[in-house]
Amino acid sequence: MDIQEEWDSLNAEFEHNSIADQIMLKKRSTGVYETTLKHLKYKLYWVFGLCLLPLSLALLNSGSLQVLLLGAFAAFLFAAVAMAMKLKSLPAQLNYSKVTSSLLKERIRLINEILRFERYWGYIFIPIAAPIGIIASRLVKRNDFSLVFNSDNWFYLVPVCVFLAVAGIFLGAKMNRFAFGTYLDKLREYAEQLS
Amino acid sequence: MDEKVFLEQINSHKGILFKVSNLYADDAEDRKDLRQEIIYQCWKSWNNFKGDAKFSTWLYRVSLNVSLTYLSKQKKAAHVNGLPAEALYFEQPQLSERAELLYTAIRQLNEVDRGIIMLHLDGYDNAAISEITGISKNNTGVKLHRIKQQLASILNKK
Repeated sequence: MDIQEEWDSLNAEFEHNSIADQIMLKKRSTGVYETTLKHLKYKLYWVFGLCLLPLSLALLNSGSLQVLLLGAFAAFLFAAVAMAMKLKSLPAQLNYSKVTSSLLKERIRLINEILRFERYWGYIFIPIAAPIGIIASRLVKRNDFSLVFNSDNWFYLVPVCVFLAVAGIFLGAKMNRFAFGTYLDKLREYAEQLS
Repeated sequence: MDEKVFLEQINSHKGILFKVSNLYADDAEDRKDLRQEIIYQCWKSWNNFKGDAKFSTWLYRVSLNVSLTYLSKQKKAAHVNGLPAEALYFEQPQLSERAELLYTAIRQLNEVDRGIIMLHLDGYDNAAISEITGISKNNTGVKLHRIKQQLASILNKK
């Protein structure tokens, strides 16, 4: 079989066959980077929404519980602002007319950057989530930080919080590895082949 | 350039879209998705088309870049179900048996090699392929030689 000859007749088949598929411009991309960026945007909305919960509860309470809830609000707000700044720093659109190897490297770098940001974000906020919840629930009954911290059950609660934090971080890393691991490996393989 | 003129330009080169989507996507729905994604990214990158290269060359470049970075629904499903994606393709009603044979053979190459041989068979020389993909000119020649041997061996087995 002469490959060039076969390819030319295949081109002719494409020219002659009327392909019914309509050429149209869709509204948004379904590419992996673009979708990841979109998901990060949704997470940002979610974190902003989450800020409102401790704030509204703080307004309904007083004393130590209010201080804790305002602290939680400040922490979530800081997280949301950090995420918004990260999103702003990432290009909304990649230039697909670049040289393939450069595009692949840029794509790997950007996805890794998003994942790294999410990981660091998780290192800070996953460990504080459980203690805030536990302390807040105790403050409802005891009204004061000193009463809560002097209660004797912290011997059991601290390991629980540590376990939840480690499990949360581990789960997050696993989920990201599941979602992006194979894809990133594939991109690295292509980039390697093109080097 | 407005959307209508852009789509007309794309329409007159749609053969490229169909060739690329057939080489990189696993079934009719995926191929359609991939074509739509290529058109979308072409439109978004349109400002970067300076006109110093032929439109077809630019379209090949964008198509190849989108195809290599695109994760098809089949591949996503295959990843979830633990099935090899290659097991899920290929129903191509429009092409003749010989054309399908060639396509099936090219699809057995790895993704990068598929792009290189496609560009070569469509008349791009080593320098142009090097410019599109980023592989050095010498390496392009070496790769092409190996790809042709591999392709001949696949076709001889059939």
